[in-house]
Amino acid sequence: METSWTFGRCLLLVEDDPSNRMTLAALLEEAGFAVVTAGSYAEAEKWLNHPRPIDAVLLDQSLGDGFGTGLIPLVRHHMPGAKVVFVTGADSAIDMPVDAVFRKGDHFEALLAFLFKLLPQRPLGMSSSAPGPRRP
Amino acid sequence: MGARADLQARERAAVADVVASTLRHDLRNKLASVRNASFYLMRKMQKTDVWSTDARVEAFFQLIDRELAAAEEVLTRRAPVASSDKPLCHASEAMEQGLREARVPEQVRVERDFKARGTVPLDLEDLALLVRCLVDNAVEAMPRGGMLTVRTWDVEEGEGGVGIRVEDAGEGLAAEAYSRAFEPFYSTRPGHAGLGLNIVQRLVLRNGGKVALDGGPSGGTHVEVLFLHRPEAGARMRLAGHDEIRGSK
Repeated sequence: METSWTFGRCLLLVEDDPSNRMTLAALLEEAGFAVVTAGSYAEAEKWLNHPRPIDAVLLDQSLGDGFGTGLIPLVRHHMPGAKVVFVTGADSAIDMPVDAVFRKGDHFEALLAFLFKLLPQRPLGMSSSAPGPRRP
Repeated sequence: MGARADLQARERAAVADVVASTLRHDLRNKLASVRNASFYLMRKMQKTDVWSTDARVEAFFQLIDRELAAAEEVLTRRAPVASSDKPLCHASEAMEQGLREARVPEQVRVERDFKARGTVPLDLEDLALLVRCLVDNAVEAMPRGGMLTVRTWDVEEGEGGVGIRVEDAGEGLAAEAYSRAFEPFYSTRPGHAGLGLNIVQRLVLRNGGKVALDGGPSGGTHVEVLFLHRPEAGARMRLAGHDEIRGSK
């Protein structure tokens, strides 16, 4: 399922639910992304304080040991170019400075479409045939 | 229904709301995992011979998708809003009611500074419940007594609004507690349900406000709630216990 627009892109997935983390990471990797995962607020905080280049952070809100919103300033500070997608299972999304909000339970293709819109297009030759997310 | 009974009923409803919301959140997590796993497996199966030789495989994946969508729909369905009228109340009035209903012991002194003249987009009873939750928390932070400071003020910047602040002179919180304090069922005190601040957050966010918890330089913690006015042309508003008015403020 790898597509050229995802190739070479790295995502940080912050999600404390092990099943969600495993399945979402598998789908993102299958789509062609490199995926780094953090299973708690503390783990994500440690990662963000020693950042590597990443294109987007997928951020869950309830992390057991903290709120995902608390990590947004760290992302903005250490990775000003990274997009932040809030992945929430809550009833209503809190008004917050993120680039997109994805509701858990929505189809994975919708998340891919968000990422396709958010991530800057690369010059021709690096991603010449970016087709966007496939339809199921 | 008397004011106290009404406040208790609202408190029970708020607790039930937190519990239901937490369950919905947890179920949504599980459904999302099943949906993602199913989608992954379907992608893999599409590349095998079974996909074309056994039509039931595709039909079953479609069935899983449909059933998950139906379960999501059940989770998302909410009770209809009873009225399009928007409630309003005066912050200082709600502060007094919340303080009366809270359990403030004698060894806690209360300093009031109520300057707000503007209105807040909540029923008086809901705002009183919010205040009571904050005051209960502040009192529990000072088991040996101390100063409880409650303030309201008019926000002048932008479209204006009203600010509310409840401050205790306790020992403050550990760093972790500041980031977790609004989580449902999180409490640093044994025997406490840990719902108060979550109820506050839900009431504030549902009505377009902002809430922040912080510590002071000389110890203690304070919670600040801001209800900023947003222009809503032609909005019909109801001032709790007063005549109907029109306008955004």
